[in-house]
Amino acid sequence: MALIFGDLAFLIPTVPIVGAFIALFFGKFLDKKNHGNLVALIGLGTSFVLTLLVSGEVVLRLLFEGHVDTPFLEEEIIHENLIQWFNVGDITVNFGILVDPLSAVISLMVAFVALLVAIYSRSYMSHDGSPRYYAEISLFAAAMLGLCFSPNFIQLFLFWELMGVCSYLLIGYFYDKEVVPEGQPHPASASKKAFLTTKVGDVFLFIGIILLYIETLNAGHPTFNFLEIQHLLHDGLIHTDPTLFVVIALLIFGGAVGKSAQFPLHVWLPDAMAGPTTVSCLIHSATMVKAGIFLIARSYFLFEHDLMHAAGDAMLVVALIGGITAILAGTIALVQTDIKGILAFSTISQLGYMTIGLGVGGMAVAVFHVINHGIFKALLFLSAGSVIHGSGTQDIREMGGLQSKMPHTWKVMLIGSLSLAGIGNGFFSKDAIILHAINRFIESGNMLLLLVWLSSVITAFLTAFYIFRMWFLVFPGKSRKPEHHAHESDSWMTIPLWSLAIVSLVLAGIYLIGNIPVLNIELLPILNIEHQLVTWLEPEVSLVIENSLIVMTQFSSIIIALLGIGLAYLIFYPRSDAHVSFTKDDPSFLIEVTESDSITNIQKPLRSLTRTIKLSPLGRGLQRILEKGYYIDDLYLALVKFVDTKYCAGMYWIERNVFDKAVRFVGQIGFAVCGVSKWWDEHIVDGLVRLTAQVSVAVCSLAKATDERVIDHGIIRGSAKRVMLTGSRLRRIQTGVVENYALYTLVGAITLILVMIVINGV
Amino acid sequence: MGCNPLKKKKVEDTMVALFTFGELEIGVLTLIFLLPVLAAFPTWLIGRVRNDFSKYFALIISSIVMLLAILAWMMFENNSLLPASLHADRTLLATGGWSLTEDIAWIASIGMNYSLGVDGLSLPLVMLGGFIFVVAILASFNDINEREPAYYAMILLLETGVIGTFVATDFIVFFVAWELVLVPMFFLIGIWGGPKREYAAIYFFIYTHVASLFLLLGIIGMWLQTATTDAMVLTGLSSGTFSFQQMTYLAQNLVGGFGIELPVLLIFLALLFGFIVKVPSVPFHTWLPLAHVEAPTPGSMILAGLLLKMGGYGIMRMSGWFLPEALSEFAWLVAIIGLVSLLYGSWVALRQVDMKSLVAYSSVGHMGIILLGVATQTEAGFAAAMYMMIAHGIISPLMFFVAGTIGHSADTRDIPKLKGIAKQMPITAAVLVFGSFASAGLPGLAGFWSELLAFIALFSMEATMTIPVIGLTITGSAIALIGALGIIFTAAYYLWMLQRTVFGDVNPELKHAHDVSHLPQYLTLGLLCLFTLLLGLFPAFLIDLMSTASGFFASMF
Repeated sequence: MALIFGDLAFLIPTVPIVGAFIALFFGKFLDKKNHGNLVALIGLGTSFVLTLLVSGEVVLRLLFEGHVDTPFLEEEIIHENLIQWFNVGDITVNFGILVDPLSAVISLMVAFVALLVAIYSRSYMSHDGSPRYYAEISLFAAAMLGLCFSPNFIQLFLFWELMGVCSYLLIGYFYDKEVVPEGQPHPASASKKAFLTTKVGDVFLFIGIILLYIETLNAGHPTFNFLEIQHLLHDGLIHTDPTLFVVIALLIFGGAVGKSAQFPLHVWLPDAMAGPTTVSCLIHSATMVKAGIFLIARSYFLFEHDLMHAAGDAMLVVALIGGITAILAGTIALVQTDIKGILAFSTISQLGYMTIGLGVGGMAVAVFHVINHGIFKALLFLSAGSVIHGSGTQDIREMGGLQSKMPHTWKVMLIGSLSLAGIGNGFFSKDAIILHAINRFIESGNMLLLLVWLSSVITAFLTAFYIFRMWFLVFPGKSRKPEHHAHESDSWMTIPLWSLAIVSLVLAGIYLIGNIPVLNIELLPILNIEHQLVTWLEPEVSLVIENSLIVMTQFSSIIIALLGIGLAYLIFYPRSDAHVSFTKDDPSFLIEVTESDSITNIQKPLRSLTRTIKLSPLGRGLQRILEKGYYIDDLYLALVKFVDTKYCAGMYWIERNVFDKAVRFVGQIGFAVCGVSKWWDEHIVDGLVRLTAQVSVAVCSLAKATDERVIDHGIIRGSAKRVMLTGSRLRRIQTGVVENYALYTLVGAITLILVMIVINGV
Repeated sequence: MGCNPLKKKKVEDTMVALFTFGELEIGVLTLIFLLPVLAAFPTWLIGRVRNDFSKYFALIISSIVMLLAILAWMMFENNSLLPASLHADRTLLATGGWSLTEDIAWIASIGMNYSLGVDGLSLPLVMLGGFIFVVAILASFNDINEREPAYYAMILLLETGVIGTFVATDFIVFFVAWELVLVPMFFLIGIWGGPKREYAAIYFFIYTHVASLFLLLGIIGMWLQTATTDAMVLTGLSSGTFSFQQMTYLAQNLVGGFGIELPVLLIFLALLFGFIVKVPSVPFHTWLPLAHVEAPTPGSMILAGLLLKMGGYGIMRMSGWFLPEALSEFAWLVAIIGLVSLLYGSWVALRQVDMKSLVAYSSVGHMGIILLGVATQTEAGFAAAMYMMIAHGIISPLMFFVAGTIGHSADTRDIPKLKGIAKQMPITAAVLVFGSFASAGLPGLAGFWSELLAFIALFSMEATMTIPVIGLTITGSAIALIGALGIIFTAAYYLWMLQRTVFGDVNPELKHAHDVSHLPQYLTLGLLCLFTLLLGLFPAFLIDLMSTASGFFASMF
């Protein structure tokens, strides 16, 4: 039978997206006083109701209808709607909705927390709010919900990145902050860091998705859809080199490392507290960081496949990264003085737990922890917001004595802290992860897994210690900054807090009825949620854990949590009532013990000892290392600086001095050629022409001279002269004397006769 | 009221009469091609009457061209809204032919015709051209305040050149249009540009003109290839030909296509050089940042949105339709140029001070994807290249417009001098953030799909690329893995730019800066953002439009 409300699922992310646009463009006019909060409330509220219908149906049916043993996720519960997005060649990408147990469980938590954050923001952001803020948180929550219901990698990646952008915009919400508290990054810089750090992971994910797609292409069924890939793997159609398969799985895990703030890409999450506390709450509990864990849970078939058909190296790496992250962040949290900083590192540490869970084959328990952590971390962050709102500071050294002034907040924060420390709803999932870790170690015998387990146990202790260090410093005792006039927040803030606290308690109660720890009694087996989740999410896995191991682990978990809380109590409770201002240079972070302090006999020597240790060179050094977060940030900063000021600057130098110069050089050669041409033209060609001209002129001159001297003077005038001369000479002959004429005639006649005789050849 | 069949018939007849232009044998493409140039002089003329008239007239003309482009698209797609007699003949498209063709003999003795046509490759570009010119003219309304009549005449002249390059199916018409683009662009930069405008204009003109020379050599080379005996037997002509249709026919029907003999390879290289300078790719890109920085904002928009696409179009047309064998031979070269452009562009962009210059270098990087896509010789690669052309053709004008608006309003585009403009110019800042993410390839916006398809194409590429002489073989996967770095760097330079400009406290020197406030500016921003989003959400629109071309491209290898 298909789901009754399955067709409504597409509305779950759509409604808040539409709400986001309405808030952005019309938020100024709707609910003017609260900057458009109403739009976000309606959008996220509708979304929550729809989620209750859709996912609630899935969960209820899973609980009460039993399940069919199919090799895949129970096909009956799965609701998939697909339309073709585009197609080119072999590549077909679909768009649609996938409702299955995994998305149902996560979406319930996400929609719930998002709605509470929207309600809480109404009061918390009453001064700093804006339509932009409500648009962005709506979109942020919608992106996470869309991601939950994505049926394929491409759509998941779309929402994945959309969430990155929303977190970028929200972390940088106070972008115009002029003064930032010392040691904190500027919001504009923090948001950039968050986006770029996660982007590194995203690139791995991007490549992983494509490589996986190509494997399905080689298998003859090119697809991005989760269910289809799962079927292909199950049917043994994908014959990939195991090494390549490990690479693909780890590339996809790379995306989760970025988004879920795992070592070594965890550096962005602590800085992300530069945004409003409500945003930190969303990032830490419901959206963003949970997306990475969700991704691995969603593509868990890859890791299982690797485990079943090869060495399972992919899972081992996941477990190791989780182990490193958990203890790394847990230790750093010990020295934080910013209330949000403590919670930020605790998130990283808890995410490490979830990753451990994924890495030791307990996908369902990891998801279980996602849910529980989502609830109690939202509770803690919103309480922290209330504390900050009420006390006006984020530094726990300036707090103290808020118990009397914030009657609601201290209670809910206690519930949250207990849960985080491992007493309350957080216990059940955390304990299950530790149990899976030790069980996996026993099964495989891999010493590395022992280390992972050890990390998880030590972190459990650290967690209890640092969260109660925070709680004892904030609430009991007397105020260290009485001029702050702390006050309780109004009911827009306390109602969400109590809702979360009650949900946290109710969940703990349900789990307890389902399975009482240590005693291992199942009062109402149907409510054994951990067991239920395993059957819903991993029907194929049949994990049998020895009963004694379960009891041992549960017992030790409780002891460890109590030890941590107890130690924190002894060292930090109650704070001195002297009005002492802490100096940054004092690493001991402990006040001199005075007689007026109401402390017991055990506390006094313990505090002296702690102080001595902290003041010793080793203690100082350790403190410094922890405060610096193992210098990982500085290392990255140095790398980025190098790339920017050395490498890219070098490239730009090449740009100006090689490429541009080369073009100019070619241009100059062109000019030089032109210059030579010009010279040639001017001197040779022109010269020749001139020479020709000169020659011509010379010839002409010569001609002229000839003309003048020879022809004109010589011939023409000469002839004339000659004629004249002849004339004047001849004139003399013309004497007018007849005898002379007769003589000439005679001489002429004789001459003629002589000539004729000669000619006729006598 | 029911639909009166008689009335409907009459409406259809009128439409046919209006749009077939049958008697004159002039098709819609000729109108798209020649309308702007015919309107250029009248624009100038009526601008002499009153300055304002010229811009409205130019807007009307470019809008008509855009509507005609949409009409051409409807005819091409055989849209059911049009009467059947207006439907284009699509039979040849699958085999590399053209649709909506027009063919008029020009100098028949050397096989030169006035022939136009569109296919899945050129039609999207024609539509992009029509759109970007409207937007650019809108953007000019507040930006250009001197010598308006001449300016708008130049813009229209440019439109003819750009669109002509895309619709031409004859190499001579193509070359004429290609060269025609240079002249108005030269004047646009040289007259309405920034402080170093004359230098930039000459740099641009000479650089691209030198490239055109090689292009011309390549074209003549192609003509000679069609003038061989074998070829003339096939074409049935008595001389060589410049016709695209004939060349495609020869590439398909000659044994081994045009082959990979030395002359053909040289022709390929000459054409490639001619196109790559226009794209532009490293190392022939230096004219671009200079031209962008100095060009007026609408000029930058057209330059980035369309002029670069001419180069990309040329490469895709040449390698798929005419010389596929030569491309296979030189795939390594194309891929390496693409990869280097992608990385180098983003590295240098990180260090830029001027916002326009940053966007210019980002263009160099993005255009590298086109070369990578073509080098894969696959359908996905072609689709990636094509998607990048259109996506970049919309996003980069958006970025240039925003950069120009900021420069106009704050009197500086220098990133270190800008600070906190989100306070002073909220809309501009929001669009800048939007555009940056779009350009950085955010899924859901236009830039992502080409990135996805390009990487799929590279990773699944089967053809190997061997560099001759040194004998090194590179695979698509290797290129893709190195290229993935570019994604991170692209995000890095944009976000760093945003951090320094948009966010932070307001720089007191920028107190006078004011946001966009005029209708044309809103329209420009709105239209460009809208299409960035639409192309991101509905990729099938574009991918289906070009499916015949991408299928044909892949079939040639």
